[in-house]
Amino acid sequence: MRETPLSTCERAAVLAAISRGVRLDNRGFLEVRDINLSFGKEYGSCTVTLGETRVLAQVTCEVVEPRPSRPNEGKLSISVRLSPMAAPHFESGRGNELMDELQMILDRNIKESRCLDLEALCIMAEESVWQLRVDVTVLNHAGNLGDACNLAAVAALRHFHRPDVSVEEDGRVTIHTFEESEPIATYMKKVPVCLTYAFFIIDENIHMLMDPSEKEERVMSGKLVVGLNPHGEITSLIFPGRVLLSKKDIMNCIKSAFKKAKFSAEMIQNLVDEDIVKRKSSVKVDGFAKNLISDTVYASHMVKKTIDKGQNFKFQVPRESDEENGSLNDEMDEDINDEESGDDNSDAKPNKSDILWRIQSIRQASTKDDDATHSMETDGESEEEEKKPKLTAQDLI
Amino acid sequence: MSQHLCEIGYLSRSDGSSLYCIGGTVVLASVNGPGDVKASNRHYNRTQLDVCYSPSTGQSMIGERALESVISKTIEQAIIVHLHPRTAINVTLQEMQSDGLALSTSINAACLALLDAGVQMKSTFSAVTCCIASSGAIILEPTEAEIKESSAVVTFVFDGLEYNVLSAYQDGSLDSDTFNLCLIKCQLAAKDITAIFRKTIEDKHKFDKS
Repeated sequence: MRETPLSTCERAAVLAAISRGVRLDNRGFLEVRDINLSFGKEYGSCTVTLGETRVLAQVTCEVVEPRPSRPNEGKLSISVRLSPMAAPHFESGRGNELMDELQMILDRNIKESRCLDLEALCIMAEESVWQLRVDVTVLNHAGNLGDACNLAAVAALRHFHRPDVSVEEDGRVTIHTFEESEPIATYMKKVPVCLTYAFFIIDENIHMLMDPSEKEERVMSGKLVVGLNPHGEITSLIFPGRVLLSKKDIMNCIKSAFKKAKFSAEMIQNLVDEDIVKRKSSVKVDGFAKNLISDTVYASHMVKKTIDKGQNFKFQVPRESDEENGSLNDEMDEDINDEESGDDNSDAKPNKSDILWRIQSIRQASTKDDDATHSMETDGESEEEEKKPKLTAQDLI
Repeated sequence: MSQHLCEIGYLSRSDGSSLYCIGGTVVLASVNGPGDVKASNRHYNRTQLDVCYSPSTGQSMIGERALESVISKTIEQAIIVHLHPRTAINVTLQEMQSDGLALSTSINAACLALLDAGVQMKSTFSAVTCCIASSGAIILEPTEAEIKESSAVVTFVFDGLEYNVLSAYQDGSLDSDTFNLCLIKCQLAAKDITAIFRKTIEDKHKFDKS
């Protein structure tokens, strides 16, 4: 089926809202949608929802022969699939540009960053090693698939346990079932995080927002996808689209991404560890059957939340004159202040009724010396400052 | 019978979708259409039905293709294909968690997703699987471990009006008396499943009204 085209008035509405400092789904410019992780019955199967975007990741393992060039390293392969249920225009079994992009992001963030200790997957050098296979399936495309796929793959890998093996003297390898011997967890040194920033050029001003929704993705002029980990390493950086940014602006983006990455990584770790502890203590695991929330329920939950919050939410359309002078900087500040006053309670811990975890967006990023982060107005003087030949992580923190 | 859990309106980007769980098997189904179709698959007098089943891990292999064909033949009997000529209806099934009952869970999920999408059907349809244990006992909706031990597995699909058999899929050998016994047992179970469908759809419209 063909993709439904985006009408001109939808496009205009998105742009008009952004130029006035609001988003269609009532989020702040730097606010990320709710993240929810749920784990299946088996180890290493995980569904991630980012707002209405939904991704399934499943890790499986098998014993294979190692590569002759690396005889003592296990193998890791990641494959992304866009299911036709994610959006009507995706066709099964056929790749497209989006799929290649996601595959590249995941390969760079997880495989090439070497966040997994592959040597630990070796059973016998030159003879047999474990191969981990991560299948990432996109179930619903509501924008920002890169972040969602990365989150799902990382959570599934961290959650995964492989069976124990024993090697006898004559070189025979025995794989023990989970009942015979405790399964072994995968060891992940660093948690890769992926963050997406979307840029909109409206009347020569550049507006930046995080975690674009599907509509915003179709309207945006360009985006910056940063893969990084809380240890201060950048694992991937792609910047497609028709936006020109100065070095300084990109650096500021990355700087604020590092702050967010720490929260994101911690959240994944906590949720995975929590589930594993639960699994080890209790006998029965519900799996997906009881833990998943449908989009209809999610949407009505969000509507309710907005109405509850409605007392202090005022929708204002700024007067024309204000808007022309008002820089992005002011909008951001207002936005962030609103968030601070309204969101204090929801940031803490999820209530029983509130199953949806919310990523804690970092408000400190808006403190005075960092203001430049959000003001993306093109200024010419900034280039002189960066004379360093190579971008290292130390420069950023 | 194992525990059945279902939910509709699961995905925001599909016309109709449902999540169906029988025991430990979880299948997500989505329906798009009737919508446009490329010229080679366009029929002048009926709609083209495409069923795509994907397992939770790995590539779709010959086993999945076989499942797809059973499912698509079943669905084709239920939906009124002549109402929308020169269109296609896409049914996508994704196995989220497997525990032996992929076929019956997929068919039930597809039925609910079609109902959610508002595709006109002659009747609903519901699938029940049973297996014959080595002791000769009939187990309704077995787990994967029980299927491995069994001598035969049979899946029946019944329509929602008279509970006639729409399709039957059998693996392993069994005599005709046992087959009939299985049929009667499954038919009873199918009535319960149709009641679950009815309740789910009723709940949806209750929810819409409030």
